[in-house]
Amino acid sequence: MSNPKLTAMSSTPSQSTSSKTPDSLINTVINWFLRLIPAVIVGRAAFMKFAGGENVTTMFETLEMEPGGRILIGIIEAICVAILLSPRISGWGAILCLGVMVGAVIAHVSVLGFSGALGVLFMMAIISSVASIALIYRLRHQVPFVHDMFNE
Amino acid sequence: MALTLEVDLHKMSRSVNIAMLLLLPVSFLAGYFGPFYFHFATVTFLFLNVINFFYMFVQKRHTLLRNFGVLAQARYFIESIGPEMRQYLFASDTEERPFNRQERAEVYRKAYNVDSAASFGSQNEFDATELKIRHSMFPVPSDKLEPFSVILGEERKLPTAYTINKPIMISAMSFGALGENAVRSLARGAKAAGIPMNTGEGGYPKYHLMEGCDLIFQMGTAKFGVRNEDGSLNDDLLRKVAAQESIRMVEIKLSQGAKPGKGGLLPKEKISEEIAELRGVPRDRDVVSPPGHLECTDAAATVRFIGHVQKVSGLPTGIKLCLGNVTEFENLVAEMKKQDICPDWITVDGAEGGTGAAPKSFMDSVGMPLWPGLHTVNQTLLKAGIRDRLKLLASGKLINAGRIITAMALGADACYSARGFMMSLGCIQALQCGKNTCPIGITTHNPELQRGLDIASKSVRVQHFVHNLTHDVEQLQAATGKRSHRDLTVDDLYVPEGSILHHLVHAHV
Repeated sequence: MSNPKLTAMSSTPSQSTSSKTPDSLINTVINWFLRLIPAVIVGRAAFMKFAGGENVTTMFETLEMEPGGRILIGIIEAICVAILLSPRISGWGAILCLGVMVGAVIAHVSVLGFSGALGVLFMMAIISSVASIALIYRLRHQVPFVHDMFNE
Repeated sequence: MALTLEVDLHKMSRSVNIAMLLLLPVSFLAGYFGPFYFHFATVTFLFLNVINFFYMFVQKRHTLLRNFGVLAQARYFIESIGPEMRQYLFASDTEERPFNRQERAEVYRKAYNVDSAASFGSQNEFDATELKIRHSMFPVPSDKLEPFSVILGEERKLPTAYTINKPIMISAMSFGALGENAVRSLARGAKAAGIPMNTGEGGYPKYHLMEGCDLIFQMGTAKFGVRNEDGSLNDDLLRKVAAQESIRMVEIKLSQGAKPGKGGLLPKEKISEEIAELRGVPRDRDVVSPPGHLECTDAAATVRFIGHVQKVSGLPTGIKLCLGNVTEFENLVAEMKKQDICPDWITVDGAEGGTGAAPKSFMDSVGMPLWPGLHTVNQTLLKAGIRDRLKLLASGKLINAGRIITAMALGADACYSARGFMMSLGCIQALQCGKNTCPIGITTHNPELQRGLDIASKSVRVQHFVHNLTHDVEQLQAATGKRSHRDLTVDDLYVPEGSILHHLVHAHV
C-alpha cells in the first residue's frame, strides 16, 4: 500500500488488562477451591448456630452473647456464604468472612481457649482466614479499595 | 491564627489516622472487659489500620492515598459521583453540555407527546451571539403552507429517486454504536413516522432491516459490508446491498463532524461476539476505521468514486462531510462540474455533531461548526452554479425547530439528527456511549441494560417526536412568512455582530 494513512483497517493495541486476573481454567479452579473452603466451614458454623446445640449455646453463654449474638453472627455467616458463592462479588464475601473469622480468633484468644473441640474450631477459623486472605488478594479487582492497596 | 472555625483537611486526616490506631486497643479492651460485642469495632479498626498501612507505606500509585490514607478515598468517591450530582442537583437548566436540561426536556416532551408551552419568558441570553429567526408581520396561515417535500435523486431523473416528506431524518448510528433494542426502536419508529433512517457505517445493517423502514446505507471509510480484503469497494457486494428492498439510498461518509480527519471508532468494550462476526473484526481491540477512503486520494478521484458508486448502486447517492479546508472543498466542487458528476446530496455535518466514541482532541478541536460550515458549502455551490444539481442536508445538534429552520435558512433542504432521536428514546446524557454501560440501554450490548428499552413503547416515542418536531418546524416556517421551506434564506435570520456567522454572511452579501 503506497499511503500508510490509508491502510484498510487499523487497530489500536488493547490497553493494559492487568486489573483482571487471567481467566484460565487453572485460575478458575483455584478460585473456586478458595471459595469453597471458607464457604463450607462458615456454612457449617452458621447451621450449628441456628440449630443451637448445647456446645454452641455454652460457648455463647461464656461470651455473654446468648442468644442474640449467636443468631446475629449466624445470620452474618449465612450472608457471608451467599456472597462467597456469587462469583462476581466473592471478593466482598471473603472480606466479610475474614472479619467474622478474626472475631472468632479474638474470642478464642481472649476468652474461650483452645481445649478439646474448641481447638478444632480455632483451626477451622485459621484455615478460613488464610483462604479468605488468598481470595481477597486474587479477586482484588472486584473490590476497588483493596485494589488500591497494591501498585497496579 | 484567626480564631474561626475552619476545616484543615491535612490535620483532619492525620488525626483520623492516629485515632484509628488508638481506637484499636481501646475497642479490644472494651470487648475484653465489657460486652464481647465491642469486638465488632475491634475487627473494623483492625481492617482499617491494615488498609491504611498498605495505602500509606506499600502502594505508590496514588499520591493522595499515600499521603493521607483511607480518608483520601472520600475524594475519589465523591468525585466519582460528581457528574450525577451536578446533573441532578447543581447544574443550572442552561449550562450542561452538549445539551442542556431545557433542550433535553423539549425533546422529551415531544417524545411523550405532551404540551411543550413554557411560561414567563425565555431562559436564553438575548444579548448573546445566538442566531434568531426573523418573523414576518404577515405570517402564512397553516393551511396555506406547501407540504414539505424533497426528492433526493431528482436531478439525475433516477427512477429510484426518493421523496422525503418530513424535514428530519434519523442520522447515522450503526448497530455497534447502538444496541439491538435501540436500533429496532428507532427503525420501527421511523417506519411509523414515515422517515428514512441512516444505517451508520458499522457492519451490515441486520437489525435496521428487521422493522421494514426505509434505509440510507452509509458507506464509511472501512466500508463494512461492502469491502474487499484491502479496504477497497466490492462492487458486487454493493449491488447486493442496493438490491435490498429497504435500502433506498447510499451515503458515502467522507468525514464526520465529531471526528473529522479520523475514521469511525468502536471501543473494544462494545464489540460483542455478534458484532465481531458481522464486521469481521477481532474482539480484543478497538476497531478504528481508516481516516479516508482508499479510492479518494484527491478531488478528481473522489468525484470519480462518487460517480462509480452512483452507477453501481443505481440509488440516490450522497456524500457526508464536515467542512475543514474550504479551498479543498472548492476544488472538489470544481471537479464535480468538470466531470459532470454531482452527488445527489451533500450532508454537512457540524463539528458539534455527536459520536459514540472519538478521541477527545478531535471532538473538541477539529472541523467547522455547522452554521459557518453549512453557509460556506451553500455559497460555494451557488458560486459554482451547481446548487440546483444536488440537495443539501445538515446535521449537528438539530434537535429543535429553531435550529432546523436556521439550518434551512442557511441552505439545507432537510436535516438529520441522531442524538435528538436517542433522547426521544429516553437518553439522559450520561455520556457513557463508549463504555458499553449506557444506563438507558441505548448504546450498550449488555442485555441486562437493554432490558429496560422496550421496543414497542419507545418506537411510539420516536414517532411522536417526529410528528411534534415537524409541527414545530411548520409553525416556525409559517411565522417567517414563507410558504415553502425552499424560500427560506439567510435574510430570515437575525445574525448578531458577535456571531461566528456574522462576517461570513456580510462578506457574501
